[in-house]
Amino acid sequence: MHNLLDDALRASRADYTDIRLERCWTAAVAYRGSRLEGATSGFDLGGFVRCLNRGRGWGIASFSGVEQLPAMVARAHELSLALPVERPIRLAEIHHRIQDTLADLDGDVRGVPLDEKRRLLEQLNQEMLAADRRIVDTQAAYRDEVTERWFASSEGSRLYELRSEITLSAVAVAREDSVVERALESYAVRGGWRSVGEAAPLFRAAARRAVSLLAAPRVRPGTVPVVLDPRLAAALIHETIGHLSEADTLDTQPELAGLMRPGAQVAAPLLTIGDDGSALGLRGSLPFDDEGTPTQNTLLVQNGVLVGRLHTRETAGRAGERATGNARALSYRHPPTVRLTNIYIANGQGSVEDLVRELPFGVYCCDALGGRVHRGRFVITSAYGQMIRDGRLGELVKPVVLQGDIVETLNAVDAVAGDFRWTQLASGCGKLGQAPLPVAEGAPHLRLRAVRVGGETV
Amino acid sequence: MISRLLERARRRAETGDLALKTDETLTLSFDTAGLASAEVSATQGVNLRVVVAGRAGCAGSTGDDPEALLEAAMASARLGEPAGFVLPRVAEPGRVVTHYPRAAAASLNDLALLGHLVRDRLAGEGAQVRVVVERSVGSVRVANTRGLDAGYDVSRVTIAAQVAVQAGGRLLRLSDQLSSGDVPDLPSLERMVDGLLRRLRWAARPQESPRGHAPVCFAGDAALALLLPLQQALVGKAALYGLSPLGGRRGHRALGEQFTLSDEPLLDGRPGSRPIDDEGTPSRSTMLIRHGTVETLVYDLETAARAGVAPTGHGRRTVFGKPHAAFSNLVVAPGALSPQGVLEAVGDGLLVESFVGPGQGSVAGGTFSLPCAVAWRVRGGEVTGVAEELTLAGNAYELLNRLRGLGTEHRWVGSLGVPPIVVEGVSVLGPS
Repeated sequence: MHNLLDDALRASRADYTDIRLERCWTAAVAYRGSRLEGATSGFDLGGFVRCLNRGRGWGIASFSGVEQLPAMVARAHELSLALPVERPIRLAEIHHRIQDTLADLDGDVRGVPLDEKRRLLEQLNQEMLAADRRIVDTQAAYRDEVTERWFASSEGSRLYELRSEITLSAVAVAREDSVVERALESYAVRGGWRSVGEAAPLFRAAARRAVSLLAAPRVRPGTVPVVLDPRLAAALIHETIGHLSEADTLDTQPELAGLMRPGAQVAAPLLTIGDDGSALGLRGSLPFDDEGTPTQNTLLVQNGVLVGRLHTRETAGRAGERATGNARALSYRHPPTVRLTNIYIANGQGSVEDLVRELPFGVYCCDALGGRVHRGRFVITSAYGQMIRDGRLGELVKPVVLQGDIVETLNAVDAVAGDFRWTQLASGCGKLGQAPLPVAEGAPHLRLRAVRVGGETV
Repeated sequence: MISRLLERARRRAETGDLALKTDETLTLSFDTAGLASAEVSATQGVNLRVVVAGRAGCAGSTGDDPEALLEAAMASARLGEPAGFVLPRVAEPGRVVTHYPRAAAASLNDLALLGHLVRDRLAGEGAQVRVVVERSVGSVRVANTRGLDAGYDVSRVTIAAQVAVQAGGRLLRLSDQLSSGDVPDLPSLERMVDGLLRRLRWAARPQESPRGHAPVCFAGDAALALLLPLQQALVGKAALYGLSPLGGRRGHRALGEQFTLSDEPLLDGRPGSRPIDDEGTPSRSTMLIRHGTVETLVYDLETAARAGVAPTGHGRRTVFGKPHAAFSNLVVAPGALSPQGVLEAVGDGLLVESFVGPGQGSVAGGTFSLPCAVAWRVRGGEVTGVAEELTLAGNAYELLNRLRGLGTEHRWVGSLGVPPIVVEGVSVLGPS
């Protein structure tokens, strides 16, 4: 592939050209109830070319297979020439490298028969079906992926990465009389067949929770103190500060410029938030992004103050800042845009018990089912919760909807525990039609003085 | 590759079928300053299914190794469920125009001219403008070991326009799009631009919204809040799993009598039109809900066999994964209300154009609670201005039983054709 890339770059007449090639093997197995819904595999091969010329815009070409590469370089150059721009595009400088990164495939999944993957999932699915007579439906899914990607640019970068990933997900549905409840769990691991680990407890937990939720009451709507578990705290930060810190957000939503101005106090001083694509072995970890920029740990919020944002080379060049290694594309079919990698809230002190102990009343909200952000406000639904009474965790409650103004809510954080952990779910992040992009999220427990809870789930 | 693949499948499997899809899409994006980006995408891929020892398996590839693809499909079939379906033989495909030589031959300059035309007229109003012109040319070929080898070419041109203006202290994004197999004519483009300019004028007049319950017209994109639950419920597989609120109600009234919904694959030049589905079943019009009564659900070959019904010709295949059931063009039958009649039917209420995030979360039960992206205040049968920020909540099944009427004019949202739908008693809440 390197020769193919060198030849194509030599033939390009554009001022700047970069090329990505990808080769990807996938396998997927799915169970619905006790029925095997499918066990399939796929092979995907393709490439992506960008050309830029002085005083012109980006010409872009994507294609399946690789034999079209020379023709597509010519097309991308022609398209760039057709785009006169008033404001020249300036790419932030990066250090160009020649580097191969080969992950340990730890039992290459391509060598594992599809039936062995099916057997693993059948056993895990059975854990849910056998957990309780009230489990009436399940969905279990296994997916693996081995990807090779090459990046080369006319500025001299020659990069190669080999990586492997496995995801498992569980949905359990419980019913008693007319009450139906669902619970979800999922798990992702960078690695191969030997990295899967013991997943049965996860599937059992989904089934048990679905059953427990049958008799759980709904939380009464109101504004109350809440404690967020690390999964929900991380999801809240991903959807709010995370997406708002992507530099292209202000291109499409200029009305947020005031909210996201550097130096703004967007959260309580206890909160420090960053995005770290260079963290080892996580779903969003990469040696380099899809423009060849090395990934890094970028501080976004320090002690509640906005100190940084995430960039591609183009958004960084426009802002006069450094590229942060956040130019990511879902596959060769898509252009790179500013995306999160592994977003985190830095660790604090103490335990969840310490956070709960001081509350006479409140709600402990766990895990996230979904959420959205609109005009500086958020709505997020936790998967389940527990009431807090007299400093102790009480009864289980059904999924809790939390909503409010983003800045007001993040400024209401009055305690950050010291029990940081990463969450790696099988789902991913979606933006501009590119989903699911693999990401990880990390946080400790958080306590907030007052949040509006209750209402319709999302 | 196709003949070789089928030949090998014939030797090693009982039956086999495949879908080969090619596509070349040119996308031009314009902002207020002019043409901002140009992108071409040229992809193709094969989805192969084989039946071995009575069991079906699938595999997909964008590469060029037929042997590896066949091996992968055989491995999948060894684990597959019993294949109770029969692949179609050569049959008379539906008659529909899906390819327009003028659209396929349009040059970059021809397409850029269309974008400039729309942008120039909209940019004159001082609003931020974004226009996207997209032209796709492609082909679909479906073949199987029982002798079917059919295919058709496809062209599509989409022009999407968005203008953003300050309205009542917030940025309001108004959008519209035209999508068809051919290059749109100038009067169609003019109508789209005129509609956006009319709404820009409405946006200059912020209005207080009603609270509590109000009559609402769901127009264009906003109709998705009502139709997404039906789309899920009308897929046969949802009924097989007992998840469709409409599955057990065939032959029974489930919605208001004014509501009729059909799947129409044989409309010339519409985005979802096709003479055959991706499994080779000939396409035909399918009545889903007639005057509120559920008639048919849609099936691909496998789910039809499982349900013990005839396939309806709704098999859809992507490169990867198994065939599944999907609609072609989903069309809500127009009603009797003229554009003025629609506003009079609303009376004192809202005309909602789009929501933030329809389809997120669980939509199967029909319940929604969505912030409005664009909503207009209607009073005395007239649009008086832009409604303040608000959230609408309700249940699609209940609301479609409280119809005040439907408009005569269709608007196409991709492959969904929908007239304005006026219902009463929608919950109107404040922001979030």
